[in-house]
Amino acid sequence: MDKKRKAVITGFIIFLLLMGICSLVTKGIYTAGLPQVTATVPREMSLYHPVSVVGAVETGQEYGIYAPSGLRVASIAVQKGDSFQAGDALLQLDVEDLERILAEKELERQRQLLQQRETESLNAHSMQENAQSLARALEDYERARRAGELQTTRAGGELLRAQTSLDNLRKELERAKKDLGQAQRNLEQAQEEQTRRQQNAGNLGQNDQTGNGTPTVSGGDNAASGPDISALSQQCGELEALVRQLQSQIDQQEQAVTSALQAAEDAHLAYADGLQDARRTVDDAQAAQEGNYQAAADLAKLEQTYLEGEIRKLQELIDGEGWICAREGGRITRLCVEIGQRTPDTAQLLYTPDDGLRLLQARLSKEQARYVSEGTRMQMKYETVSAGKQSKEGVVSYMEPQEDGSILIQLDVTDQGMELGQQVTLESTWQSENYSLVIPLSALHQDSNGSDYVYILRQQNGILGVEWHAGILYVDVVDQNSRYAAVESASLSEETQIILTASQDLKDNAAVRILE
Amino acid sequence: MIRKKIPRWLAGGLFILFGVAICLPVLMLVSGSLADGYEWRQRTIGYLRETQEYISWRWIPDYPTLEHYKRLLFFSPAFFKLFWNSIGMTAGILLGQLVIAVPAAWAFAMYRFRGKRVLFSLYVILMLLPFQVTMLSKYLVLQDAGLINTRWAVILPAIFSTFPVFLIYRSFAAIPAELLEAARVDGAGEWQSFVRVGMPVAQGGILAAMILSFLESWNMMEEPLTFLQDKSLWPLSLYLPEIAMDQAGYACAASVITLTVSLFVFAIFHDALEQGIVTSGLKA
Repeated sequence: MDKKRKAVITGFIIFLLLMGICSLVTKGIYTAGLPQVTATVPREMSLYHPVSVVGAVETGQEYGIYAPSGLRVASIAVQKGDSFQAGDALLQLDVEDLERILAEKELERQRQLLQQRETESLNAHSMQENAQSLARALEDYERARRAGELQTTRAGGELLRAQTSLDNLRKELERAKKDLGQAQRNLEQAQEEQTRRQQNAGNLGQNDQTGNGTPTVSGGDNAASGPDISALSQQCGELEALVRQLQSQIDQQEQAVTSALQAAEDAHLAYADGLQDARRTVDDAQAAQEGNYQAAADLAKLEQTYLEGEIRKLQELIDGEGWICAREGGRITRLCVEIGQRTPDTAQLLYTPDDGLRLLQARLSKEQARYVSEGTRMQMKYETVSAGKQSKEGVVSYMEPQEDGSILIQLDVTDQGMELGQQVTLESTWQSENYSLVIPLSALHQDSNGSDYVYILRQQNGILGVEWHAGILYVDVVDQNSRYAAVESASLSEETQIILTASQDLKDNAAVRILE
Repeated sequence: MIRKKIPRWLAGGLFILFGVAICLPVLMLVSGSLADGYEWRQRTIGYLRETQEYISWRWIPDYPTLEHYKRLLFFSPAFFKLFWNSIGMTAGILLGQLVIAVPAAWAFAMYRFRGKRVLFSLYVILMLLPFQVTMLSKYLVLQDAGLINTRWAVILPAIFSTFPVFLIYRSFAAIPAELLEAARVDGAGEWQSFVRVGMPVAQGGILAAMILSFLESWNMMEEPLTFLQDKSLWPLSLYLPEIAMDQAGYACAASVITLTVSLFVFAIFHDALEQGIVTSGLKA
């Protein structure tokens, strides 16, 4: 083997040695650069949520102390939280201001009295005028009634007469029609008789000519029946003329009856209208006399009475040097007026009676409020000078969301012997249901969008063999407290390895090294 | 005739030109491995943006650096994992071929038996078949043998490759029968004749076959890609395709290191390779 080949072989061996050394160094550097993580698996457990909040004892009932409105406050003898007994002076009104207002009221009362007297005088005069008006109205009414009745009666009489005349004409017409019928029948019979005789006479003349050669004339019978027919015809004509005359009269009379009927109706309507107008005039006069002046007088009396009541109250205040005193014992909870201001028409002071309702109030955050509900029992811890540290149990009786997002809770502590304003620490612990996947809170992360995720360990087979890689798995946080979080995810099971801690920031799918 | 017509300097110049052209890819690898990342981005920006531009090339980098070698040698454990995989596979294949192919070639060359011609023809046919043709049958056999996704899935088929048998067979066949007869007269048995006479005489052919097998094994891609799903079992030849296009300098450095092993082997055994090929070629 020549030297050159030996040198090449030596170089190859050195090359392989260098590659071996580099392999170790590279592996070491790679391993040292891997994030070192600790892992855990989700546990099945329930979460405890301790709630602790400081509240204060407040009054549950408030009453007002009132003074007449519009009076100037001279001094206030109490502050918020002060206790007082029945009869204690609480608020003083300005006596000079009271006297001035009293004088104004008195002046007003006098003015009202004068006005009342003037009003009464005017009322008396008006009543007299109204009485006269009423009398005239009644007289007009009676006159209208009589005139209407007279006109109605007259119209009725005219109508009755026209109707009677019409009935008579109709009877005459019936009789004339009967006579006319009888005359016409008689005329027809006479005409038939004459025709028969003429025929008989014709037959006899023909027979004579045939036998004697000379005609026979029967002029004597014809001359005897001629006047009867003529008279009957004249009688019929007269009767027909009579019938026509009567019919014409009946038509005229019917028109007369219709006119009389309309006149009677018009008279009746005029009578009713006139009577109604007169009645209204009477009613108006009576109302004016009875109502208005009496109501005005009563109103004036009421105003006078009210004014006298105010004056009496002002006088009482002046007599008491302007002091407003308590009617029962209690504790001031709020001052609604300041010195120098005028009293509003609402309460000037608010107080709670000594034996009133006591409420322990506290404000919970939204997170805390999830674990407290009405009926929740809470431990009340407080300290007093006389009894030292105390611990009692209370029940949340009321919850109400506030505008600032907090939730106000109230506990009835009326019988607990707590003082108003007492600071009390409220504590409770809420145990959740049993969650199947609970992880330490340190394993839970949140991205910029607010979505929760965990890093899980996954085995991946790569060029370097089987390695552990960190993978991001988004989860839904069902519940959490200060140490643990209950999570849900379709890809998460009780055997999933979740990265608890890492020696450096992790990235998705980054290779990691597990610390046992 | 040729020597009289073509001047010597011209022939030499042409050969040098051809040699340089052949060596160009290697020189480009070395040059590219020394260019930094920024320079590579400038070179490939047109190609990466699919503007149908070629990668611009400069033989001497503007800012030469060993950054890629540093990263490769000290911060790429995957490279070394696959490097030693390749070393192991290649060594196993070569040892196996020494054990299997050399005696097989000796048997084909020295013994007469029924079906020898048919069997040798079958060897030749199998040698001519490309991998794609036998891939499915190999896969099924390896799967039934439970060898899929193990190193043996690559090593065993290579050990029983017919090409080294064919190549070594020529070397054994070239041994004069008188030489073997003399050995037998001197009392050598079959094994001694094979070891003491056959192998030393056919050393060139055996080494040539081993070197060619080494190059084939060192550079093989299809077999491990087909039979090895586990990347940790892959050879170094599959490491380069794993490197992204934006790490061209790093890929060049990895290629240079990969090439170095072949260069060493060639440098050590190139005499034997040339001799073995010439011997086989002359006899063939």
